[in-house]
Amino acid sequence: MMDSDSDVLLENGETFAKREFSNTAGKLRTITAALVGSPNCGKTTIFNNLTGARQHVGNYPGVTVEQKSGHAIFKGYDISIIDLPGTYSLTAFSAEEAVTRKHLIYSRPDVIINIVDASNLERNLYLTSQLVELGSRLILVFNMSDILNKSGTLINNEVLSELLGAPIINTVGSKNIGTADILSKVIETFENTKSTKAVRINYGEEIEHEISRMSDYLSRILDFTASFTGKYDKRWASIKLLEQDKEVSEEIGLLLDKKSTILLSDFVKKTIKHITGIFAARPATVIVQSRYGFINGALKEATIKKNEMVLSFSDKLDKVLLNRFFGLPIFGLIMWIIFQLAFKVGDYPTRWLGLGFEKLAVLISGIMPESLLRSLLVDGIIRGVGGVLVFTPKIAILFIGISILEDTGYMARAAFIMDRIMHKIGLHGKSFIPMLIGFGCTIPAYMCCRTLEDKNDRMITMHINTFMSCGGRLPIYILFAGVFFSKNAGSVIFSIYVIGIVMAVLFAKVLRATRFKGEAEPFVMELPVYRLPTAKGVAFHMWDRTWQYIKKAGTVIVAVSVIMWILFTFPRVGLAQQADTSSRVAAVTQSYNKNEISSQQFKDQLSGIQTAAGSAKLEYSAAGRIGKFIEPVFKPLGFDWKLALASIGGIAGKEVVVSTLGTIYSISGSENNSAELKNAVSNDYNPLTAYSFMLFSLLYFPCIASLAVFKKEAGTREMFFQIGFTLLLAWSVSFIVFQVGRIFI
Amino acid sequence: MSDLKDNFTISKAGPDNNLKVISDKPDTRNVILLKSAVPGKKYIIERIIGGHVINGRLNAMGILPKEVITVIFQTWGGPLTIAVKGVRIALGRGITHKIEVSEINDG
Repeated sequence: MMDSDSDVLLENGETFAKREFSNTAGKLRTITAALVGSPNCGKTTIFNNLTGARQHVGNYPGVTVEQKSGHAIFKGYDISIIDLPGTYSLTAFSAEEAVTRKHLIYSRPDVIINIVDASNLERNLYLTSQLVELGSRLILVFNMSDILNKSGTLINNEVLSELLGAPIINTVGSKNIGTADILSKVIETFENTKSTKAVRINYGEEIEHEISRMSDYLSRILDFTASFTGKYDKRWASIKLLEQDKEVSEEIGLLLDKKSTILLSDFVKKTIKHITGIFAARPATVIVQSRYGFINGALKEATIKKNEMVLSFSDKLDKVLLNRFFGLPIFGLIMWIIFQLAFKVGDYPTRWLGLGFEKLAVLISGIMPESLLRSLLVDGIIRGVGGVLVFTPKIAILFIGISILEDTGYMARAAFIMDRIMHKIGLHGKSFIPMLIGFGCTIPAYMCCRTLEDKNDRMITMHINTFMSCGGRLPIYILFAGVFFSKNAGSVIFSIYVIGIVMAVLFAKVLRATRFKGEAEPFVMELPVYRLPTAKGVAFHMWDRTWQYIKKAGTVIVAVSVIMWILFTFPRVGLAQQADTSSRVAAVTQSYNKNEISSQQFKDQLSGIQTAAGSAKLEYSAAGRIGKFIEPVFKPLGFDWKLALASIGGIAGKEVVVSTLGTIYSISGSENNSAELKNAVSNDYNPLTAYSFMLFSLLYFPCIASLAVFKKEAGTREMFFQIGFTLLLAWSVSFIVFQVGRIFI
Repeated sequence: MSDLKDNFTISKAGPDNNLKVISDKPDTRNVILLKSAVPGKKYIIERIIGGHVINGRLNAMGILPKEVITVIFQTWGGPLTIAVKGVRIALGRGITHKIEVSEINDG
């Protein structure tokens, strides 16, 4: 069965893709292929193997939230591969299913590659049975075939392939086995001009009779060669109508006038009623049963030896991890450990990085003469970007933790554990996964909300996701909590996260009661078998996300730092003022030289003059003026103009808050003794202001990029609502905390 | 009895109550709601109450009438995990009130 004209199995897709490319560059024929599969079938791993990309793989549904595409250059072909979101069926019950089906029907890829979890054929082949019906060129990839073999079950692929009407390839995605076979088969299937033997699922006499009646009816009122209807055949359309597929019936409705639409809808209703009368079940259910029947039949015929898969280990583990008493505390403990590791262990490399940037700044200050360029480099870029990059180790550790939770399969359990609580706030456990991802970055979290079938659930989850404190906000907490709550920094930061969660809960309730009424969708979720995460896998995912963070520091934050530096530097104070400062320094130096003042007094006076000059310089600058202008708005929260300005900078990305403060203090600090950001902050603020500021940073919308995604996913109106309500909330909460706190302190 | 009343209101509130599922003819089997099922026992699904969207979603995951399931484990108040077609599926509290099952006696 397996095609053997390519037995080259190289390390990864990338290498052989490149090698092939050098031979055949210039005249490549192109093939489009789409990857389809149920959640947890290892589809993304296969995609990575095929294209050499490093996409994120998770052992829970909803990882592939966007269509990702890549290329494989193989044997003179440029195979463009699209990774479609994982779906259980093509009936379009969720946004992901709709994306997948639309792509298959309207973009018509040359070849559909159906990834099947070989360790669970029966359930996975359900999707296959629907792909078979589409009548496209189909390849079945039995992934994780090693698990199937280990279980002792033997399948005759040749027989099964015959019955399903599609070639079968065995692969082990995690070990990159079978990658070249898939590509060879794609080419072979593409070049095979003979139309493949169409496999037709028999739905039984009564249903088949109704399908043909429906087909006749449809062909009378519709033109199946037209551009729109020509995408699918009348049998498929008839089956979908019987299944009460909303999308298909709407699409067909678009092609008809009002009268025909009503007539068709009546016809469909009557037919459905008729079938329901015979089977005591709606046609959709009968059709699903027939599909499963078709699969069961095929499997029975093709199975040589069968061994029940024993999941005892997974079940035993679940007994503990999902225990009604221990489940939640265990989950809490796991999260707490991850945070402790990130902040305690991650503190060492963070300090080393900080020292490194400090050394770099001193070095450049030493080499370069004093100039605007030096100020830009040292005060703008090194302080700004360095201030953000130093937190990379902590963020990387946090991402390692989240990656491990995903790859082991625990994340789906976390959703289940949280279902009870989420239910109380009018959401369900599935909403919890985007919220967990939100601790890393809000943008993928927004996209992950697509896994929620119900629109109201989705909207609420997106709105409250803002309060899940993302990695970008972490530097702010680390700085302020570190300075003002040194011993309890971990707990203080934890409290900020908890307040975020409380806000999320509160607003889920408020939004459910006001803007998005209705009941939460019931919770149904597959619990994948526990897997040991591979170090390679975890490292990849961690790096993938951490790299995003570093990239952001290298692009957006550099740009914003430069802009901020310009705003802070210009317009410059007048020559008269500069001369005034110099003369005051000279006067103090003179009195020191004459031994009129002690060395300590000299130092104090000097730094006093320099600080005053620095502040004057800042307040004279454009940024200083802007800050002063908006200061009154932030004054009731305990913020001075510097914090106000930093918050505005934070719109570009919350990391910018810290980098802006870095620039402010670097510029205002004395020239040869650049005060460290930490010291400067500890001089200017108190613990109450720090806490109020952390809360403000937590609560207002994450960043401009996240707003763009929000708009794409939820529309402009919702985006403006998000901006307005988070700003208002952030201001109110900080106001209350600061004003009430002031009474006690 | 109160369960039946519940069911009626649920299906009535469903998106398309004109297409109410008619259950299998009543017989000697002891039909209960899945939420009351006992872990470790095998059940056959009798019917799923609710609209066609929820039916469709459950069906796609292998949960459909006449299917044999094993209740793996239950937390309190309804949410439970079941084994169906070789996979474990977690069902939240709302949905376990909408699936009717009857026990299979292996003996």
